[in-house]
Amino acid sequence: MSYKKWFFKHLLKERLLSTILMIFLTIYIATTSITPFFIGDIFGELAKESRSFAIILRTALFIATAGVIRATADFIQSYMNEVLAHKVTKNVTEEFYNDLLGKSQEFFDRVKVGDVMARATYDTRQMNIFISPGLKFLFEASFTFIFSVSFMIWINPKLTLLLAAALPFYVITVYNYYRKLGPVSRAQVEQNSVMNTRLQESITGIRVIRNFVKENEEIEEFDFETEKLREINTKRGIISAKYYPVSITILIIALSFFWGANLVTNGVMTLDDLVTYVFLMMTLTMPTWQVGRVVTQFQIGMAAAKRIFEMKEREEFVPEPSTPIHWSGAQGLINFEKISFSYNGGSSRKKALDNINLQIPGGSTVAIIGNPGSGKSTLMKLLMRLYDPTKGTININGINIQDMCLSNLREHIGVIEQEVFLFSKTIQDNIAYGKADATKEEIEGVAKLAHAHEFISSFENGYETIVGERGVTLSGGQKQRIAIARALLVDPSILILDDASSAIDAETERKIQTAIANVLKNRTTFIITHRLATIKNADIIMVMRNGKLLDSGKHENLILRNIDYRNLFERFSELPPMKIQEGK
Amino acid sequence: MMRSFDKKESYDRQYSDTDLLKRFFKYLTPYLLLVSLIIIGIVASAIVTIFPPTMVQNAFDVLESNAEWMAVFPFALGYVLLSILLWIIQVVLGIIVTIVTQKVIKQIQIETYISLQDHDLMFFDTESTGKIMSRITNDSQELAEMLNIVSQFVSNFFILITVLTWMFVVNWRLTFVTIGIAPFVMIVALVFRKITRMTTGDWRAAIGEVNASFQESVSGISVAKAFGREKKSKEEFEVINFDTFRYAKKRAFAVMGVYPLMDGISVIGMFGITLYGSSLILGDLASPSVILLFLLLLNRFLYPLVRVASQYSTIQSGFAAMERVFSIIDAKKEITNPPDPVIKKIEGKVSFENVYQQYVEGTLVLKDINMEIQTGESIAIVGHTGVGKTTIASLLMRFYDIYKGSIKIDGVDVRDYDMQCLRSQIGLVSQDVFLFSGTVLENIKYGQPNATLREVQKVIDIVDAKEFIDALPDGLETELGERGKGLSAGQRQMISFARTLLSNPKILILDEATAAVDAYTEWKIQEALDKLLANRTSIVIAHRLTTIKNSDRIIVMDQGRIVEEGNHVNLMGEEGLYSELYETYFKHQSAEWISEISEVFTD
Ligand SMILES: Nc1ncnc2c1ncn2[C@@H]1O[C@H](COP(=O)(O)OP(=O)(O)OP(=O)(O)O)[C@@H](O)[C@H]1O
Ligand SMILES: Nc1ncnc2c1ncn2[C@@H]1O[C@H](COP(=O)(O)OP(=O)(O)OP(=O)(O)O)[C@@H](O)[C@H]1O
Ligand SMILES: [Mg+2]
Ligand SMILES: [Mg+2]
Repeated sequence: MSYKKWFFKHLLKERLLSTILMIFLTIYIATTSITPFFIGDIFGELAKESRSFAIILRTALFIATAGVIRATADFIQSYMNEVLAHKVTKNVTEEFYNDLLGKSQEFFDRVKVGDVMARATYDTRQMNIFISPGLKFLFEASFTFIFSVSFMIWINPKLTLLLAAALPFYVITVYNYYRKLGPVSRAQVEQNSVMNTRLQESITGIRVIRNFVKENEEIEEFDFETEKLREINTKRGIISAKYYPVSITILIIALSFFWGANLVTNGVMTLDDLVTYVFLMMTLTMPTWQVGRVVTQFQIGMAAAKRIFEMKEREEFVPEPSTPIHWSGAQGLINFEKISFSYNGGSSRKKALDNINLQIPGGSTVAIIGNPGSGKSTLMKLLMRLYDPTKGTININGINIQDMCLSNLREHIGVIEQEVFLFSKTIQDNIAYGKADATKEEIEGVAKLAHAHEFISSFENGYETIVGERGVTLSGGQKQRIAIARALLVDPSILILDDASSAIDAETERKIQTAIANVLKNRTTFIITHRLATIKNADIIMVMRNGKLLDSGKHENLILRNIDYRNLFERFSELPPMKIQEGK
Repeated sequence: MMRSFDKKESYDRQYSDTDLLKRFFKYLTPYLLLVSLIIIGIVASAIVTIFPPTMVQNAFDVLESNAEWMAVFPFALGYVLLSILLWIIQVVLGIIVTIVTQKVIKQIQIETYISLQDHDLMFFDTESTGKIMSRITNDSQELAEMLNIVSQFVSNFFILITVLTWMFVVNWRLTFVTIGIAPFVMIVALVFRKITRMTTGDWRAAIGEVNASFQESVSGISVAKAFGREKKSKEEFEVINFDTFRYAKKRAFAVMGVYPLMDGISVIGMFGITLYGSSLILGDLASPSVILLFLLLLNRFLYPLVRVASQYSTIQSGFAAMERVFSIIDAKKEITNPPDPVIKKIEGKVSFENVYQQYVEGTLVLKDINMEIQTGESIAIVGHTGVGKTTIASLLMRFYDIYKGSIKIDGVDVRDYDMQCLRSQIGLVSQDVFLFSGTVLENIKYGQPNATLREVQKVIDIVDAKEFIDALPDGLETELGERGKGLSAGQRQMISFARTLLSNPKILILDEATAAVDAYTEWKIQEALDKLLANRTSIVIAHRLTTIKNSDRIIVMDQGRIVEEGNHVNLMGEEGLYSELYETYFKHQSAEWISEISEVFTD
């Protein structure tokens, strides 16, 4: 499907609206085109020797009635058109949004928020404008043209030939205009998106800008982008200002008039017919102008539609199985089998994970340690199927996770991400994020477990406190504790704590851990941490380095045989001598 | 029912029309020449407009007197020439208007952007990015449409005046009938003015809401995925999106209604003229061609009249957008440069004197903080989470102004310093890591764009980032996504650390600068850092107490107050909060603790 087809599919879906629109549009145009006839009639009557006021009155009444009908029809059709435009925009935005949410993490790694936003807002608005008033103009123009020309032919076909002769010139002018506008319209929407991206990033990074006193540079860069946008816009504006094929219409009016005068003097045509004819001619000036507007709006609307469609159609989503196997959430063996993974669709030359093999009995506490970038978070993301491994499989309870529904898999996994993201809603909404129907007691219960209840209660609005974007108005440790509460509320079978207490002091951390351990007895828990105590007590410790699983086992064994592991503890404790040669 | 949300932001304000117009015209002053050209063009086209119909009228007069048909030639020619003249004027006018409009849009966008850079952080704490962006990008566009509309408005107004004058000249009786419509048109205009202004404001605010929601969903997508919340998010979005649609419909009623209504009124006028004109002709007070001219002119009178009136309501739409943009520019700023800012090289002596801080009225976050940090001293701040450690760092950078007391650097209050001067000499590695999209190198050099590769290499070595950077696909030139996507969290933290070190600050604040790094790497960084910190004032905030053991002095905070102060040995002796924190932390590392905690776990 092409983007144009997609766009028109959306447009045509609104049949009822379009039908009403068309009916009233026809009425509107018909009444508009009929008025010159009445004027001609009046003029004819006045030109007569025996003028009859009654006839004039009657005709004037016709004019008035036609006018009132016209105005009413115009209102209805304009209103319907505007509603149609907003309806389509609404549907497009929604479809775009829904499609985006289904995209894979990979997709979101690559796109920029500002760019997505430009598509969701500015580009949809351009489509909106193309429909209203763009399409309205187009319809009006074509209807007016058809009506006026039909009447003109009816009055005097010969005279209309002049119009036919001018038509090719007109078509060529419009076509040239259409072609010229294409590239500049596309450049315009692109540049708008660039500017948006810039803006978005500098608002979200405002603290860093302040921190490094880079305000002036940021302003300069923004200036650069807006300047580019300005140039493109000006160029576009000048192209459309120059388009004025009205000159052709003017010439035709004059010529028709001139020739018509000849016909009148020769008695071939009556004077009032000529008056009507010239009036009809003049109604064509508006459509000529409107067609230009339509073309302008069409080009930019289509450039915009293309951008939305292209992003929407990018086939990047984690595939769902055709015949899913249901996982009840029961504990069982988690089996990482020959897992390899590289980012960017496997194209990155560096492997983020390299042949990971490990079996984890259900209910174990697993600590994953390793230097930054060793692939700890990546492994967990594979477990949640945010990405699929390039090679190998992950089984839970004997079911390959690729055979489970995504929602089925994820509902049983609770995760506290390394970089906590909170929504700018109330604390309560944030905690209840994964379980919208949670009761107040449940929410407070998990908040207590996460040792968050105390500080939340100390806020003036308690659980109703709205946290800023991403939770900026909270301290680092407060954010993490809300994230912990949020994950606990869904009562997961597998809990992943990805460095979830890095901003929490040891004392609070210990309390939280004890609390969690009490509640989530016998759940499989993955803990990625740099705190040594937490590591030591785990059932299985995975030692990772540069994507490889160097070793796994219990503290007592690892401390004796793994140099990476020893390094961590070296400074804090007296260690027994290594059993195995260094370099293993 | 329409879901009700707070459409107004706290900084939104109302301006009077005259204020808005005055302000808008200020943007036009740099283009006075062009603007006067526009006005001349408008007047010229207004005058020229009335002539083509006159040509037609004369031609018909000629025809009626049954003259030779060639007699109409001059009129036809005149019609063409005049129309072409009109056309040329309009093209030129269109071009100039475009140029000016685009310049004004840009000016407004830049000005809004500059004001953003000056806003208090408090502003960004509460306002959502999506809504702010909506104002800068969408509303400023709408605002610039104003110029177009205003020029059309003025032009129509002129046409109106000239046509009216001409009509008076031709037949004053008929003209009076024509003018009779005007009051009705005015009333409609006034009524719609209010509706348009209101509905447009609501609609645009709703768009802002959609923006904000969209933006947050995209930013927080991984959370939505992790919690399988996609369906719920879709439902929520549908509601907000639908609201926008409803506001748009409401507005459509006003915006689309005004023109047809006036058209209807003008039809009545046409009716009157036709009748009255005819009776004049019947009474031989006018020639038939006069009524034709009148009907022609009527179009040129009514059309601008109706336009002027309906544009008056469109301008309201622009006013609504204008209000939204200006509100951002004018939002109150608390943290500004003092009148006579102190600009000097900082030595590094820091003192807090009776400092109180509150973010929210009535909730004190810091209470009576007093501390002195000598030049070159290295201190550590510890305490439970949420106790106010980061706040101390933010205050020193003057991200926020304190509620009471004073913070001095080298004896000068931070509020007296030039903000740029102050911030550029303090380096803060903040707890929340934020990297920009761009290459790794660009990110490290963010604060010091002119740094040499050697200097960069040096800081990379200090934070132990060499190994992983070398392993990246393009090394230092590797492109990162937004917020540093493409690196692991620890790697990002190291880059952010290096970025601050490169700017070589006199005072260095490390707020959990190595929290996402493993103990071994942290230890290596520490070793390398010690040398660098030697003659610098440094403030280290950390939960991993190993990080701070070597500090000259440790400040222990509890519930927004300083409760203990001293070096490690002293504090341990005191057996207060510090020793408690330390014990727990190190008990963590000890063998006994394992058995203790594993009992809990294996229960
Ligand atoms: N921008 C803000 N707006 C409102 N309240 C804030 C803001 N920043 C911090 N706070 C509040 O101030 C208190 C202290 O926060 P601060 O970030 O200074 O704590 P912290 O000691 O750094 O904690 P952590 O160790 O968890 O990082 C907290 O209760 C927090 O909710
Ligand atoms: N979105 C991404 N795109 C490309 N590469 C990535 C992406 N995320 C991580 N990487 C790379 O994959 C490797 C593993 O990253 P991962 O986040 O799994 O590390 P980690 O072990 O969690 O580290 P940390 O302790 O710093 O959190 C790193 O080298 C990192 O640079
Ligand atoms: Mg990680
Ligand atoms: Mg903090």
